[in-house]
Amino acid sequence: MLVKGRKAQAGILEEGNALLINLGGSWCIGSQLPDTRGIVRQIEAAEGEKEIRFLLEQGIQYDTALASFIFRLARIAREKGFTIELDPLPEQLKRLLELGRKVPEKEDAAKKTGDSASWIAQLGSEVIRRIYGMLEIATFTGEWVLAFIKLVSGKARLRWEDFWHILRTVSLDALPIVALISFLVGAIISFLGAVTLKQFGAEFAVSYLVGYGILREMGAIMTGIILAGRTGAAFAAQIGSMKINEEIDALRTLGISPIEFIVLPRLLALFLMMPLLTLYSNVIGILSGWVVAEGLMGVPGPVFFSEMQSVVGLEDFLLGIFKSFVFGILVATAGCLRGLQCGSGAGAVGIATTRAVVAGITLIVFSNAVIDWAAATLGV
Amino acid sequence: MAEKIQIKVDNLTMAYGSFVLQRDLNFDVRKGEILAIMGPSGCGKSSLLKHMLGLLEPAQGKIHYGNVSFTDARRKVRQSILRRCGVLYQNGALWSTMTVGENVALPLQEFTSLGKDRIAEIVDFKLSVVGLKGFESYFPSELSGGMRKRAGLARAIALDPDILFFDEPSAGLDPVSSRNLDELILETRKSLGATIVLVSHELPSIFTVADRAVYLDATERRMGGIGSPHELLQNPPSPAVHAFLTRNHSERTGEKPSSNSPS
Repeated sequence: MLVKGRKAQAGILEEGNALLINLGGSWCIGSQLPDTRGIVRQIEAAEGEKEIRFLLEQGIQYDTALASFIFRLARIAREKGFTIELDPLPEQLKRLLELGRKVPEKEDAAKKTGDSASWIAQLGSEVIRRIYGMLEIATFTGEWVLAFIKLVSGKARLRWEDFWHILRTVSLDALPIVALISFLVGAIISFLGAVTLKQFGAEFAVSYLVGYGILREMGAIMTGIILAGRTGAAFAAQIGSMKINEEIDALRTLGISPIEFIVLPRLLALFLMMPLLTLYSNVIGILSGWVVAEGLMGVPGPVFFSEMQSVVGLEDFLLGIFKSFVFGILVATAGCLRGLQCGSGAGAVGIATTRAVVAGITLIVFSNAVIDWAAATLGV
Repeated sequence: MAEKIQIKVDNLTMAYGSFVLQRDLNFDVRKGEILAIMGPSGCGKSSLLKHMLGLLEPAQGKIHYGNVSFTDARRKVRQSILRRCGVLYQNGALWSTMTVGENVALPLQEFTSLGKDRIAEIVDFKLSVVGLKGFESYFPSELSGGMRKRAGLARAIALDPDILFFDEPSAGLDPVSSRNLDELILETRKSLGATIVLVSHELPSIFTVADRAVYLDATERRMGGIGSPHELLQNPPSPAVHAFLTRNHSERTGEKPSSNSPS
């Protein structure tokens, strides 16, 4: 509430050993409060045995805003060994000050701020943290591989209801966004290719660019990145909030493995659906490439597709599909692991989600480079 | 001693990294009793429960179930011990993607070879026990906090456990619901004959249900005493126990606190 009244004032006067603090006007939370940094600085700079006294003007209005200021000065006075004269203050103000002293301070509360290690120690702990992070990924991968083996050998069960539900949300619900992005990527590749190739009179070769680019690289990568943002994030958020709600603990204490129960259906769903979505993305990307090529450059459809067939082979298509299997596993692993690593508190879910998306995309880009390099070496 | 010891906490030290939460805890849980673990916020009550359930590992010391060292046990052994335990978590911890009925049914599906009909029958019965009959097809998000806890209890007693753990059963409940839950706890003990370990800082419920209570001191970071709540109230082993019990006790009996200032 805004309190109407005279503007709050504060001043300081030094008289021998006494520091007189002059206060007046409306010292309320809703009103304009004066700049008191000068006063604080002067008190902090004072030396020797000082006594702080307050002079309150007639008609001063106040609430906890003034109490907070005096409270702060009292703390500085205590640290510097000054005496502070609080007794003459009005009853009401003293009662407000009392409120701040009601609960004793925790002794270990102050320790938290002053704890800054040297940069070598920080570097060391960061490196150790990273190594542990990698170990966790390795452990987690091992765990789900074991769970998968158990599933295949019939020792573990999959909750089919969960699996179908996840399968649906992963694939069917992602169709529009995958279509949109694939259409744009196909169109862009075709347009860029056409503009460049036109200078050499080789417009027909745009089909080579579109086919090769989409099938080998862009189809799988774009689908992977979309699902990292869409599904990987969802996995991390779901599992993270399950962890906060102690649902994971409840599974563990029942002796049900969270890996089998939560991670495996998600991994399998993404592993199966990523290639199908990539296939879908490939088709849309190539079609949109053709639409742009025909519309802008006048490359007729039969020429476009026959040219594509003459240079782009089955192995290009298969390489893209292979990548999509890999990306599916990576995105699901990143999402589930980050979810399981989620800390406590509502903010932690947000952090887990962010980390899942970042890890998912990083892993996609990295593994794509490795696969391309391997393919080039093998001559695929 | 005549009573059989069900759980033995042996020199347990709990720590997060270098921060010691509690050191040298030593106490037993006797068969058939209700043992409360009490203390102020942040003293490590819930962490102690998690240690007993193997969700956290001790920094030092051991936990025994009967003659078996739970701390040293292999995963298989641990799971077989835990299968005899039921846990009610603070917010129920119902699996949010499943209905209430499916939540209660899952332990039965996983660990018994009962047929669908039998399981449905048992689920129906356990939900009636907690007063949630007819809520089988509700999702946890559609229930109130108190109902979620009761559904959590139904799940915890699904397999007729020997030992039940309760993490802050009355937290976040209004006085009436919390009293109802206390009665339900006593009732479950009577009918199932289960040993119950309950974490709580709410004295009304501790005085109502607990046979014995362990006090964890938050500043000393040690066990501050063990005994029946009334014994501890009459002969407090430390000032902290006295302060803890009297402050809460006065709230329970409706006595006015010593001063009228808000504290």
